[in-house]
Amino acid sequence: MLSIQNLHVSYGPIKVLKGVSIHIDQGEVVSLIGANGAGKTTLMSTVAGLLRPENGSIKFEGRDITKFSPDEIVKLGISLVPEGRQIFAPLTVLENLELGAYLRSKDKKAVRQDIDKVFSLFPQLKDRKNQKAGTLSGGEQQMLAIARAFMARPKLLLLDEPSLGLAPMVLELIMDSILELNKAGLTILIVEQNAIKALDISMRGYVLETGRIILQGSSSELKEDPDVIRAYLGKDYEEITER
Amino acid sequence: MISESRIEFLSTEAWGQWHTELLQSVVNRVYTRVPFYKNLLDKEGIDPSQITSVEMLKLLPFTTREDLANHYPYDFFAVPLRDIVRIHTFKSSQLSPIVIGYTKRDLEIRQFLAIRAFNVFGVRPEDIVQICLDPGMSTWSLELKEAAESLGALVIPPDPLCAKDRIKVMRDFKTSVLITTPSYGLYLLSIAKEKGLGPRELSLRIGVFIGESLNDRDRKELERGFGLRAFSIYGIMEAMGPVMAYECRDSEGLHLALDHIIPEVIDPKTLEPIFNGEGELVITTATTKANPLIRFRTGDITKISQNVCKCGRTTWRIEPIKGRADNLVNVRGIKIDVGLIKQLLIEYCNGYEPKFLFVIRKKDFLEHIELWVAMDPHIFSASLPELHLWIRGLEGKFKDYIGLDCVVRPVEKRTITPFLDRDKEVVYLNDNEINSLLL
Repeated sequence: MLSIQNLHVSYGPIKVLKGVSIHIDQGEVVSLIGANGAGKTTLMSTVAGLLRPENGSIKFEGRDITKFSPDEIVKLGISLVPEGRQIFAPLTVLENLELGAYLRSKDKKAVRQDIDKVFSLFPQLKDRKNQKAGTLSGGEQQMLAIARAFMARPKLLLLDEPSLGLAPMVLELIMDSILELNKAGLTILIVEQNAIKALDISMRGYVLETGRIILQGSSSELKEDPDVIRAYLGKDYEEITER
Repeated sequence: MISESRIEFLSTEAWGQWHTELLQSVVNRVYTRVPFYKNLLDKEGIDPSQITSVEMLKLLPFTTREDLANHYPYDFFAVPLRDIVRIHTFKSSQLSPIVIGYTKRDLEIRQFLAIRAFNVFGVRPEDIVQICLDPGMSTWSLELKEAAESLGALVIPPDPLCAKDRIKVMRDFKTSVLITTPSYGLYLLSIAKEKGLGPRELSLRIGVFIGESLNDRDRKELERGFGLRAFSIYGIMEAMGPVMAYECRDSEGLHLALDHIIPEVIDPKTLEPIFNGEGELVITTATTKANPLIRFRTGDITKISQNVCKCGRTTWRIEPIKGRADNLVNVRGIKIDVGLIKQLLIEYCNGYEPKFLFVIRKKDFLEHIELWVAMDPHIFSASLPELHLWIRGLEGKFKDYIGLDCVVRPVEKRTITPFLDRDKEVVYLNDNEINSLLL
């Protein structure tokens, strides 16, 4: 569905992505893990059209979208849930959701159905539907951010660090709902510092290290990979002196 | 996600994306973790981001067996020693052996490849698998045994029995799957025929042949004589295990494990890539963690077909290996380095290099090796007992160095000069030719 080849992205003189190639097939949940500063958010932002790559290509459903603007990309069916949630604080939960469906607002019936679906997935949002989004808890805001992205009826959902700042139980809920969305047919690319959680809900993963992919494989393989365990899964590693 | 069972059926475009991704992560990984490759790439001025696709493989340097031996012990490891769970060592023509390490995952992949092939061949839990391979192929015997065992089959691994006893066991324990080399298979067949044992008396269903190419004539002979269906598998010692490639039921070449390697064919003289032609098989490992290899020269001459097979698999196929591009000689599936023979002779003769001929003698389907050494006053004395000791000592050293039994014959220089004059150090001779030369 999405294939990226040799993406080079810089912030001014600083090269962040140095020739990244990944792909995601329809129906998959794929994770991109890596340390802070590895370039994960840069990749998501580039796919969403917020950043322009210096080199390389992004193809979505066979079409080259490398130079497309963000709104063209949303129209094609790619929806980004940015890092740090970024919901519209002064608007209510319901207004946030309706805004998420802005590009389809003509089809009022479908939008209503989707709002119902979102509320069944996230009952807490239903309870607070007329509350200002800024007053929600961190976890609820994350649910709202995901729900709002879902309202655009995307084919591909990009989740940038959904676990950031969330308590473990809320995180479980969020992750479960992501899996529900995938079961309902959504293809999902998730970028995460919390590698364990990301690998738990994804089928496949890529490991990004200072702007380059250094490893990929099925999530179960990556969870058992000693390099990944040492670097990203936070397991205490008993130092054995090099033989 | 592409399941393991469907990955051999990917489209060309999908393979292109997979291989781009795999190649890039291998190059990125070796650049930061393997001293040998970092130095080489820096010296050539190659930055990993220049590898934008598989076409760019040609920018990367080759890796040879000599490189592996010369960077003993750790220079090729991409993981710390504590991640390595097994090490295999191989003789080399250099001062040090070749050492290949494996992580747990590396071993799992090798098993997976063997099991995948066994499933295609139809090996079942009810099968009785008998493995008849030389000790020189012990690493492969081990892995094939483990793969068959994990399928639930009864396995009879290599044993110290003679061929007659192996046939007996085959009959009495109703071996249904035979794993061996084509030449040994033919040898066993000849003994079975002597004993009047044919397909009706034996229970063989499947023959898995490794180490040597299986030509059509021998295949028919084995299938008819044993009543089995013959399949070839191919591997190299340095990566991926015994089943880097295997024949599907359509028997039109061996399917390479494209999900784990990126293969190419090159001209062994110019080192340029060859498409749709015969040349030396070069392998880049895509998923190997402990000892990744970039453009490893296998020395095997073959041709790659990228066409879709009748079975539907899109994994590229290689033709049976036609020969070697280097000075390794394949004897009963074991590769012998002629350079190593030269080295051991020089050592044995205290620095003096005698003229010699390495003779491979085919007898009863099997290859036997002989080392003919030209009699020379520098190394031979007139005393017969001393000569006898000298010969036995050399045979022992040969066995020690190379791992195979060899008959050493002192000969007159004029017996072997006709070959040496034509730059031939290795010859294949039959009994008649040998007899006429020696008389």
